[in-house]
Amino acid sequence: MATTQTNAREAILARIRAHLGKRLDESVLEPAHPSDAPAYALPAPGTTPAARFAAALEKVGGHPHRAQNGAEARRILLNLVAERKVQRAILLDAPLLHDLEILSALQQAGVEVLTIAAGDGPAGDLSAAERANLRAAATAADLCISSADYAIAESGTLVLPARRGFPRAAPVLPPAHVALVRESQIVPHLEGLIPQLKAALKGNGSRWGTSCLMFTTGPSRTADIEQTLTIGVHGPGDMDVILVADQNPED
Amino acid sequence: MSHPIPLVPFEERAHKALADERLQQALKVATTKFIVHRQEALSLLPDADGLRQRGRAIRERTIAHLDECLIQLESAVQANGGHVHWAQDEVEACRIIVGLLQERQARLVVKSKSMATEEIGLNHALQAAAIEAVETDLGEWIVQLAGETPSHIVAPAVHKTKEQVAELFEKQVGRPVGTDIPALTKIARAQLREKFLAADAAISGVNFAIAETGTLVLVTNEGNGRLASSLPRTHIAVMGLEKVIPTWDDLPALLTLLTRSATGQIITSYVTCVTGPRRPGEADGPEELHLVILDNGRTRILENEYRESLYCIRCGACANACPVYLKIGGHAYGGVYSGPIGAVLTPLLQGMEHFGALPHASSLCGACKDACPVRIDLPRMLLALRAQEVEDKRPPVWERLLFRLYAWGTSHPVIYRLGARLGGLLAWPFARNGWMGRLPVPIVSRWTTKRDFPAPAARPFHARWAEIEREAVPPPSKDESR
Repeated sequence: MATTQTNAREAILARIRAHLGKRLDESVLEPAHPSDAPAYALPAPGTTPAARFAAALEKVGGHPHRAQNGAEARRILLNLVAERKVQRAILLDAPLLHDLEILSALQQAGVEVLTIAAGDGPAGDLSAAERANLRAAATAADLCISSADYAIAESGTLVLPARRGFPRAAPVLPPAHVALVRESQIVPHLEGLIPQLKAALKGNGSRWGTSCLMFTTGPSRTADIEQTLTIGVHGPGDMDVILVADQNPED
Repeated sequence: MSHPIPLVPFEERAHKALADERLQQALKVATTKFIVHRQEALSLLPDADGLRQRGRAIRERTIAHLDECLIQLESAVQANGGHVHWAQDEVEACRIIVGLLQERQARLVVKSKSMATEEIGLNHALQAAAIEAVETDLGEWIVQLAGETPSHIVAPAVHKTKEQVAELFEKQVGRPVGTDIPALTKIARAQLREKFLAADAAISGVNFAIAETGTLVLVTNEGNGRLASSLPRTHIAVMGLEKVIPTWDDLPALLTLLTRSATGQIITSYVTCVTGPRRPGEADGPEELHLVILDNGRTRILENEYRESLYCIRCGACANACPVYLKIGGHAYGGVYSGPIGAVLTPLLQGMEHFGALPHASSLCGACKDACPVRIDLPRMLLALRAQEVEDKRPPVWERLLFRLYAWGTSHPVIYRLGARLGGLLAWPFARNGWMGRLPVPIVSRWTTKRDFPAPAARPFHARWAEIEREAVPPPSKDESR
């Protein structure tokens, strides 16, 4: 097997080099013209990033909310919890959620919350049993509550890096996902975010800082049956984002 | 184990599709929607054509440095703790994947939509090894339950009605399910969720593989790519070797070109960028990540004038724009890839012998090239393949003689004029409203069984032109105007 693999690798690379080495008749292939055209729409003048994010999220079937302060954010969240009759929630803790005292608000509302601690947490790996328990909890939950590292205004996208305390599947398994994001975390577009991502995730020059960088935009959707748009096929059918204004975070 | 060679010739498959009124309707609805959404999404950009140039430039640069990009990708994936396998053809690819699964005693595999695994006929190989493979993209699952193949790259089950879907689901769950589409989707969610949670391994495709960090980008709307790369303990990703891109800086342009061209979305619901297996302390993600880099004829394409077909990012915009695809749909193409890019790639990857008819499934109108996000010159390659087919086949003596005679005639004015008059006279009995249907003449009838032929004008153009010139008032000469 090992030899076959080495052979296959060498044979493929040798063919590529031999064939690329052959100069094609230049007139056959239309050469690409260098272009620096942006990969994003220019924001309409006079609009704020938060307003654009909300409009984009709404357009793809998500539910945007604006909160002036923490109290309003909690009120919006608790309304959603009541409306959707949420009994069990999984909370992916983050500094913002901690600051806004989301956990105690949920508990006071009688929601059974499993919190996954943010940051480095306890050193060492999780055992298979611990991981199985977390998966079972996420599968049984009615709602996942998280923050995001960034939000993209143009497309209404949340940027979620998997890490200790942020499982890849946790926001996708329950039927609903609510994310709370500070307005200051909103960037205009993906293209502008890439340098920031590279700086944040490649910091010390070692390997990429997350095993899975996830972009999530609105609810899970499909149009595979008769081209009819339907939501909630594998992931959540309800995707709410509460944008929290930057001033007066603690009221 | 490869994708099966169709048993009936292309003409027959096309006729069957043309006779299927429901298919015609479904194709029209789907492609019209895709076209409108694509145009809207591109019109939001300040310079959509400039972005397409940018996309093309990235693809051109990548393919020109393909060996370096792949080596960088390989070492980055390995540095992240992943494993890289190289497969020269479908047989090797299936052997590698089945081998990995057997070593791990996997019995149930969830699949996230992948054209590369269709290409290598992986599902047959898994079946032969008694490994249950479940497609998790809703459209792919429907097609799998029906024992069919995808008919559209973005909408695999576009040819199925909700009644047909309901019938398939009823067999699956063993009770009547009705034809309400959201209810059908819920059934699929429940059925497939069980599979996700029970699966021993996941197999996915790759939309882009970023060489600098060894990151595999999966683009989906349903979230199946996200679950497939999170839940099972082994994740095997299969990519055609052209799917590599050099850096993260190349991603925004290609990603938004892909989603805007495919479905008219700025971005899809889930874009999952996998950089290695689960890391210590993380609650989920696979214990093992394997990347299979597939050649299967691609390096052969690099060699010649078809190189730019490897620039393709699989958005399906060329198919939606194609008047022939609109009428015959994906199945008539008989290969994995349909539409204009399929008419180029399928003969190149699977051989002209069985797919030589595909390059003729085009009116050469150029709509595909206009729709392509990386401006692949599909009409040029379709023509080149036709020429190649003729050269390979070496047409019979009479045909070569006929065309030599034609060339001689058209380059001698007297003969040409005589021919034009004669043509008009000979064609007159068969012409109706300027067209000729089936001609009862042995050689010509082979042309007219498939298409009408424009009848030669009763009076040739040059004769009418001469008349017009005679009747026209002569323009004032330069001397007079001075």
